Amino acid sequence: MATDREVLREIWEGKLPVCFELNQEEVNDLQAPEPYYLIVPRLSYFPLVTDKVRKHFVKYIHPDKLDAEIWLDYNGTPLKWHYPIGVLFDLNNSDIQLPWTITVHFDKFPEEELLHCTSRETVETHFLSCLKEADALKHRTQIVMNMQKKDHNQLWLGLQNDKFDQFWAVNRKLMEVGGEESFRYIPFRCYYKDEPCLQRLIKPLSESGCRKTLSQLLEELNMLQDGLSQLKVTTHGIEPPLDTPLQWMSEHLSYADNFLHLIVSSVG
Amino acid sequence: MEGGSTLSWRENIINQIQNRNKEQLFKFQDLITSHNRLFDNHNALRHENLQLSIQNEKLRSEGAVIHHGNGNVSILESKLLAQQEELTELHKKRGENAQMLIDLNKKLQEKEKKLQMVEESLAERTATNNSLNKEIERYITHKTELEKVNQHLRDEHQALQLAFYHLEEKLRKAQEENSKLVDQIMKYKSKTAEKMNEENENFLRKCNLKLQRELEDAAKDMKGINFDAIPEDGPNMQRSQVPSKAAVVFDAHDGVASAVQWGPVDRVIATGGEDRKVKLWDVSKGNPENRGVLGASNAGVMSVHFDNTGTYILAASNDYAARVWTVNDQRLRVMTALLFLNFIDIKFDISDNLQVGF
Repeated sequence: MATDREVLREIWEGKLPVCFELNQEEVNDLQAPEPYYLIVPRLSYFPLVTDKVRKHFVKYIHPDKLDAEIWLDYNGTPLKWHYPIGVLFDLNNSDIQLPWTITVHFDKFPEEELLHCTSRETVETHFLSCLKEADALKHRTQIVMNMQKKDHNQLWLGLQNDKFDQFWAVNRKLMEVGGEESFRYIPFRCYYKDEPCLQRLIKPLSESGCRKTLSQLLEELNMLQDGLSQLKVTTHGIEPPLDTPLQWMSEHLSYADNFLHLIVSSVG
Repeated sequence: MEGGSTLSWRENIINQIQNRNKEQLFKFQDLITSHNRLFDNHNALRHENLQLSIQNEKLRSEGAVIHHGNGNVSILESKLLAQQEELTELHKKRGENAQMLIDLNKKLQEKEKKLQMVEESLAERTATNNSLNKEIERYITHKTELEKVNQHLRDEHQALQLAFYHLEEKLRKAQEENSKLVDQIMKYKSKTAEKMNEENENFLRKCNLKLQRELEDAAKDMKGINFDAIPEDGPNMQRSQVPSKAAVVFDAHDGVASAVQWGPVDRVIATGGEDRKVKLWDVSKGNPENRGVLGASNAGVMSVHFDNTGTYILAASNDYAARVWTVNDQRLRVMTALLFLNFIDIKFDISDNLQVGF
């Protein structure tokens, strides 16, 4: 069970400075608007923090586009709103200069690359479905299904309003091992190069009953052709040591959706 | 791994997070919060500025109105106009009031007329009331007279009733006498009957004696008669035929056949037996043909009988009952009440009513 509150707290408090700029081509005013700076939580999602940004920039765009959905890009690549902000940052970490400068668009929605996000409910639906998927891997969905609607709401509101205690009061139950020694499988998503994220059924214990570590996970994903020293695993902006047990990582280093998001890149 | 490899993975992770925060967050946090504050201030000021300019504009336009006005005169004129309007309104009101007064007067007159009419009708009513009262008095006197007559009649009635009782007593006495006389007559009659019987018996005895004597005389006379002298085919003698052979013999019942009867029409025979059945037979073709079996009896059938037309058949049974069937459809039509004696024979009488003999 997740007992290490210090780590949980640190992970929860992870935040990023972001500078939002309006796309130059969409400015419909004599002077370009000032950039908007925000500190955003790593565990949150962009649609939950961009209300003020939209309000700031909406005065400067063409009146026809007032109701358009906003979308974001960094360096020309659209940012997927359904990834947590921390994951998006870590994916591009190699060439980001802080504060992270993101361009805001109202026009020309990239239909092929992004999903539409019409409201916060869309994000909520996505969030809850991720939770259920993770629970299915960990406990065969027993815990999520036994929760009441108000527990789901509490999880969502805790994330939305950045309330650590509110969120963890419920999330604690999801991190329980429930009489056994560990979860059935570790819910994780692994991002390697530019391929879509990788998901496998990996148990937290080996056949002999020993706790598996991060390096064993990489081994099972067949990523060790070039040797351990050639790989770099990043999550929450840090590189966890390769001998960290998987069970502990899943309990403490998961994002709010209960998934471990591991960004694997090769050194050099 | 800046934390050094000697630390455990947990401390390593915490160190990394703290370093991350130092690099990524703390450098910018204050800057961005102050930036946000400035932004908010800027927005608030801009909003305030907008409102002030609007207020300014409003005040300016008001000032213009005041400049263009011509002071007191215009105010007085407007007051005058208002007063005049008030005056005309008051005039109008007065006219309305006068009109209302006239209307009310008219209404008053109408009401008075109505009142008069009501009074007249009241007088009429009282007159009729008086006449009715008189009539009532007359009826009362009439009633007393009738009561007197009634009393008179009642007295008479009582007297008559007394007379009636008297007469009734007489009648009863007469009846008693009458009954006594009837008894006497009955006695006399029985006596005469006895006498008659005696006479009859005597007569019969005499007759018998006479007959005996005659027979004795005749026996004495027989000695002289020669039988051979009588011719064989004498004109006065006819040979009678006694049936010696049965035309048809048949078994009608299981056990004893106790009753048999010819039907009045056709050649139909009804038989009744100890087997509790009545059977109908057609013998017109020489040999018997069963036409039907009439059940329903609860004991042996003792007697059967047709009515005159042959449509009904009657049977008496040892179960103390008599039953009637129709011949055509062979259905039970009548069953007599149970009796305490067995039927031995029964007959239809001429009018087809059931008559029973024991």
